[in-house]
Amino acid sequence: MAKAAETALVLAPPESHRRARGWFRGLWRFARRKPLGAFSAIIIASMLLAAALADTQVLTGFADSQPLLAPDHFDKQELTATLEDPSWEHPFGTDQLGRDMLSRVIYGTRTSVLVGLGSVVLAAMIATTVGVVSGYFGRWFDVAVQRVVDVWISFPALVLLLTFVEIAKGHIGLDPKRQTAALTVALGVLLAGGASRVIRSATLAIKNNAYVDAAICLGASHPRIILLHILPNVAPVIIVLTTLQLGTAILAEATVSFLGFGVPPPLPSWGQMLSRDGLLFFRVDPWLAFFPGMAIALAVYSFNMLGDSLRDVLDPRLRGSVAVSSGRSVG
Amino acid sequence: MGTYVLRRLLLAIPTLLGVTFLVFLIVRALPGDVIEIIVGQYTPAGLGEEAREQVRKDLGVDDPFLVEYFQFLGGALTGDLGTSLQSRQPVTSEIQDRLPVTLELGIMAMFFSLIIALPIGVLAAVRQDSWADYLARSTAIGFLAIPSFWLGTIVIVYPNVWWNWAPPIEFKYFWEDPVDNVYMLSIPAAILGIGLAGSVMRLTRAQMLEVLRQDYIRTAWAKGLQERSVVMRHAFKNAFIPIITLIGLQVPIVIGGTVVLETIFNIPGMGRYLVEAILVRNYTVVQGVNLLIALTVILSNLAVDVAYVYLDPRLRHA
Repeated sequence: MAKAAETALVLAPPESHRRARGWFRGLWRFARRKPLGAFSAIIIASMLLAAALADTQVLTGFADSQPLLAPDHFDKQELTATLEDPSWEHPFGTDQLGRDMLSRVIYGTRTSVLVGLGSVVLAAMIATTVGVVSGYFGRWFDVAVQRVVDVWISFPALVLLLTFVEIAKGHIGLDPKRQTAALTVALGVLLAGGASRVIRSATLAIKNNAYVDAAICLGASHPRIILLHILPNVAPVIIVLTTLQLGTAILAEATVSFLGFGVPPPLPSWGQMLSRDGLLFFRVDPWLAFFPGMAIALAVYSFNMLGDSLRDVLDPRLRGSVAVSSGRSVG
Repeated sequence: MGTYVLRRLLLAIPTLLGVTFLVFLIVRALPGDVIEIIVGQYTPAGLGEEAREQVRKDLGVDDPFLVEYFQFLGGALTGDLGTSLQSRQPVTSEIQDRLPVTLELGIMAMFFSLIIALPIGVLAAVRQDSWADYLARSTAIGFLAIPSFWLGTIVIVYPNVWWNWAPPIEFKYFWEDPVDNVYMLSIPAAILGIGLAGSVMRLTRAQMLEVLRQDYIRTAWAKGLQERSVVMRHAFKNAFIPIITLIGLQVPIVIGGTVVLETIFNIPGMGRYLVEAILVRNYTVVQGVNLLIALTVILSNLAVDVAYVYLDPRLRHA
């Protein structure tokens, strides 16, 4: 008997294996149920890969960089080969300065991902704090906080973003990287307002559950209830919201950069590649206007699709609600 | 219903105050040397200290903080938004010239969005899980993902390359030439409308699906009513109420969109006015336009909330 138990122990796969298999099975089930969601997840994964490995920077610890996935550096000019159509040598053609467009689009992924992820993570942190605390404590505190949120969401995001970024330039100067960082922060703060509303209403719904009352009766402290009972149940909403907002953030960065207020050259950004200054060149080489736009549309599409699929799988009750649905809040 | 409207109006007051305060902070958030640059930019070198004083006064950065805020608030209430640093004209009168254009563009865009979205949304719901439904749903998601500035650029570039046709770029005011005006605005309005249509289409479909499962719809079918009557009179009328909320929520998006499309298509509206003002640090204009835009959004939200209660008899009599 003891022997049998021992063999069973030996034969049973280690815990980590079983967990990995559970994960894999979960992913497989998701892919079967939501093929478009899975397809989008693959596109997003390749985007992240392209962003990380456009050059060797990440591998060498930012010391030295050689183009890796991108054929060339994004700013390498070849003035004898300007405005070329797509060819084997330059699959996406070249721009007015003879820069390889494929490389620029791949490097542009990095900008989109950095600005998008940065702003959305910031937005999620602010929105969760504001939304959960406001919804949980309720009463006059909630009323007061919600009036601030009213102001927060009364401005069209794009208009406020343009104004913020210009003011920030006065404070931080013209360094492209710092300007991009300022754009990320401004975008994050703007996205947080609307998101906090959604998280607040989710908190309100969860607060009324019997297990929260039980925790209060047992004498649990407010931080304990928030961290152990409210947050884990709001988490699906935050995950879905964050995924959907990533699409919005990428679209917003592209729009602001298109208008000339966002990511400054020479840093590559999809929106900036389409800016009005290029109009003259697009007429000569229409491909120039095609690829960066496709990249934006594909990225936004994928995040919207993945967000919608995640919502259906994680929390079907949210289906059809205006707030937790892919939409756009800029241009 | 009266008390509801009154409560809603009262709730809007702190929001309005908050918004004016935020707009007021915009100019004050500028670092001091930017104000010096502005002074240098807008004062001819010869005028000296007196002109510098003038710019600082225009910006309202001379007096103590609260005094300035109340001056700004008082000005805003009486329709005085200060003087444009660049043209030395009152900001209010410059806005008066441009507001109708943006309003026209925005309303046309919302109109296009509804014409596209409502029929397709209803059709997708009535024929759920058919190829028409799948097509409509992918179109909606596609519409959401295409940036309007890209669509605008494509419309300007590709027809020009392929067929030598370009959208008109010379702007005519409505009172000058109504036909040309509507023709010119219809292209950017359609592009903006497409951007809005995705969300409306999705919500229309979701709402219709929900309403079509209600008992009173089954009753309508059982009475032997025609499909058209059931879908339009019984289902759509009820499904439309939440859609109105969405249309209200889209007002800020429309305003953001007009900024982009006015820039692309050279339309002399509020959006381009703002972008140009930001570029040349014309902060009195930035302040005025921001204030007006925020007011528009708050008032449209208010209107939507009131309309929502008014349109739904269950809420009207509650």
